Amino acid sequence: MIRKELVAASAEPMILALLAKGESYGYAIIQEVKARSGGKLQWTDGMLYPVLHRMESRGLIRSRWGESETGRKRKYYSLKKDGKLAMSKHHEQWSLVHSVLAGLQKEYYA
Amino acid sequence: MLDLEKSIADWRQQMLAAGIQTPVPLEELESHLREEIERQMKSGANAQTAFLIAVEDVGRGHLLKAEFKKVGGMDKERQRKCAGIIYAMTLGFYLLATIYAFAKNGLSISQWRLGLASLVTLLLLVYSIWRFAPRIFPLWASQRVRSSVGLMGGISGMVWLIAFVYLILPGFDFTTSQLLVAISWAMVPTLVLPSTAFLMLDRSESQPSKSTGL
Repeated sequence: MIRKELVAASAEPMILALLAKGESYGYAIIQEVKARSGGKLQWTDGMLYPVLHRMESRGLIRSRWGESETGRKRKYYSLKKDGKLAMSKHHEQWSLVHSVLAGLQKEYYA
Repeated sequence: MLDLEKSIADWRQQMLAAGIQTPVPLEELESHLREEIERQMKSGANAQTAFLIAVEDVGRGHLLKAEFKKVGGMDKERQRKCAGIIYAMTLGFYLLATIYAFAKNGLSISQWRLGLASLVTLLLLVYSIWRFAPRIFPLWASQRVRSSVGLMGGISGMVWLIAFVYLILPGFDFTTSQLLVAISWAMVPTLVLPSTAFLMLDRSESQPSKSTGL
């Protein structure tokens, strides 16, 4: 299981990257993260919504109410221009962290 | 057998009691709860088990409320932006009204120069503060110090105006045009100090919390 601090820090870039693929809603975002991480990235489901709302009030994403195939109300989120910029910045920073760690690990095992 | 709709209604009441009162988060959480119940039941769980798992996954009301409260902090940021716009509009209105008052009251050329100099000084000071002050403010790491300095700036602008009207003005016998020029200079600190105060408070309070409860 991945540490709570890392899960929290990676939430925003992950949500941005998922929404970059297209509009989505809270439940689907959580399911996709679970599936892609093989269940190792566990979010407390309800806690996703304050994060989404915060990102919305920062102008990174927008939302609209829609309906599911079964007619249930759903709130859909999509990426805004500022969200795309934020995503590139996150990508840059996470890539840097990854490359430093990978380099150090390579030296350790060399 | 579990009455799912009644259980969901009870869960809503618990969320409301915990403080999740705004309709949007609660609707959204309920939608999530229902999706999870549906998924669990499709996987073979009975209604009661599905409901309990879904409730557990959504999380406790008081913890969610604490997280949603941080979003409220962002609304404050928006309010500050609005206050900034109102300040800019007040400044613009003041500049136009002052120029109109100068034109209407037949100022001499030297009075015009003095009067316009006060307006230019005001604009340059406000611009300098907004342009350069943010570089200085991070040096004051203590939020309490910054808030105190901010409040002092706001209050001192008002104190100066009161002192000018009640203590300084009665000591002079100004003509209308001289009075206008004197007031235009007196307004410089009155309008500049609140902008410093606003910026200071803005810097001290607008840093959003990065932590999430995920």
